[in-house]
Amino acid sequence: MAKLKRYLALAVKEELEICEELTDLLNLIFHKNRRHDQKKSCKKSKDRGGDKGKNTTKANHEDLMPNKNADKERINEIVNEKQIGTPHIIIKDQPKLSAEQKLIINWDFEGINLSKNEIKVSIYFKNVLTASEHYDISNRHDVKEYNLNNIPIWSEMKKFKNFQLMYHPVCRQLANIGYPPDQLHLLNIYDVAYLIKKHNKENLQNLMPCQRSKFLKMFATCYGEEFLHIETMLGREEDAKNFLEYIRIQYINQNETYSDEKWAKIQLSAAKYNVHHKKNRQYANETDDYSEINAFSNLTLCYAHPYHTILHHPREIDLNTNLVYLGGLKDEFRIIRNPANERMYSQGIVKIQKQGGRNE
Amino acid sequence: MNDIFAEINKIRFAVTGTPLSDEDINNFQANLIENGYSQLPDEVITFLKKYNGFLFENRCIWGISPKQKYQYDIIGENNLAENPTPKDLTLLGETETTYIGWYKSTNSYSMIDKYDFSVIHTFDNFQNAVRYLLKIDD
Repeated sequence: MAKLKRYLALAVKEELEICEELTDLLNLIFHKNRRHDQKKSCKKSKDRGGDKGKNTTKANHEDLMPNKNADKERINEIVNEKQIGTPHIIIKDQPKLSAEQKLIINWDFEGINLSKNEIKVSIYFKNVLTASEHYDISNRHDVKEYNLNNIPIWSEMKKFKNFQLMYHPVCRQLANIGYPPDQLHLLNIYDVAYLIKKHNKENLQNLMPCQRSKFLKMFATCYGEEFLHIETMLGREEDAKNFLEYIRIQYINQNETYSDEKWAKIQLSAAKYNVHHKKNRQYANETDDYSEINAFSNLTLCYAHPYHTILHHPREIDLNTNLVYLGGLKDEFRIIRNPANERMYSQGIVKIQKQGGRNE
Repeated sequence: MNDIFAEINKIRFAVTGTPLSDEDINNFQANLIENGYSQLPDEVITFLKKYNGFLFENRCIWGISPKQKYQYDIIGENNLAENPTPKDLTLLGETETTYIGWYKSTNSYSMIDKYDFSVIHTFDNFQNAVRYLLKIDD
């Protein structure tokens, strides 16, 4: 036991050193003006001359000039060493995602959170909405008359399960505003978004779910104890507890209230943990089914800085597919997915993890 | 801008930076030019003066030379993002998957894809961009 404690203490020490080095390297990229200042001071020392005039060699001058990519190279070196993933290799000639596809992925992931006046509905839809203020709902069309497959953008939206769940609610909303069933081909992506938001506003118990909140609820349930154990080792226990509390308040028990001061602390802690796409969203078209980009298997929780940052800078890293939490670069501070636990969670059978049970 | 301030005050607001002086603002605008970016429009400056950055869940508007550890600096974040068109675009904040940025050429605010800097959505105004970030619904 003592041996294990010593081993873990050493692992923590090494991890904190890595964390500090990465933070310093990223700061160098942040403040590129600093490099500019270094060049200026190099030039001045050369101009000062003296006995440097004869003895100053080109090599000496180059020694004074910092390698402007040294910080990026060192980050790449650390990432390669720790084997958390591989640099993404772009598949050429892969079609790029359209703006609409990006919006759909975005909304599936975090919900439709554009405000009402930012949802740029089509002119025909706007006219129907205006007319609906005087519409006699008792004369509405039968909901079964609406076939959303006639909406051009629905073919993309229905690839995502969360949008599939909105099929009947959207049909009901269309019926309620008196939208003609034979004009569905005129609807655009914002029109559908408007209807979903309207449904969400009127039906607080049956909102359109989003992948981010679903993932966090699953994470807290299946991996919460192990996560807390890791964060405690790294001196981040309070942040971790606040983060788990944030998930509980936001997504599970929304009636809880806190003082503003406590809520601010919880928010601060929550901001330190990001949900990251292991294969980045811009490469969604490289898979056969691009809706998989938001699947749990492609999501992982990350400690934001510097770890989430280095997954994107200086280059995109495809994380190991079996990762579900990246709290540090060493093995001891990562959590590997437990598909059996997640399956039981999805079936409503919750398994409480033993503390310290990671990788068993 | 008073509308958005009133809306922000109503919600359980998370974390903001310390308000800025006129001197801080002037230095910042000069720093923007020095770093190859364009000076920011008045409405953004008015907002930053009152809330020098804010954090709400995992979404944030960056600030100016923030003192607190958790806050992010506009110039530093633009450098890190390797903004491809710094003279025209200044990134102002982010969600986990998108940036919010201001385009000088069109004086417009957009939701921008973090990976290829394509515009996903253009907001009518700065206040609506803030509403999107803050998840202020109407």
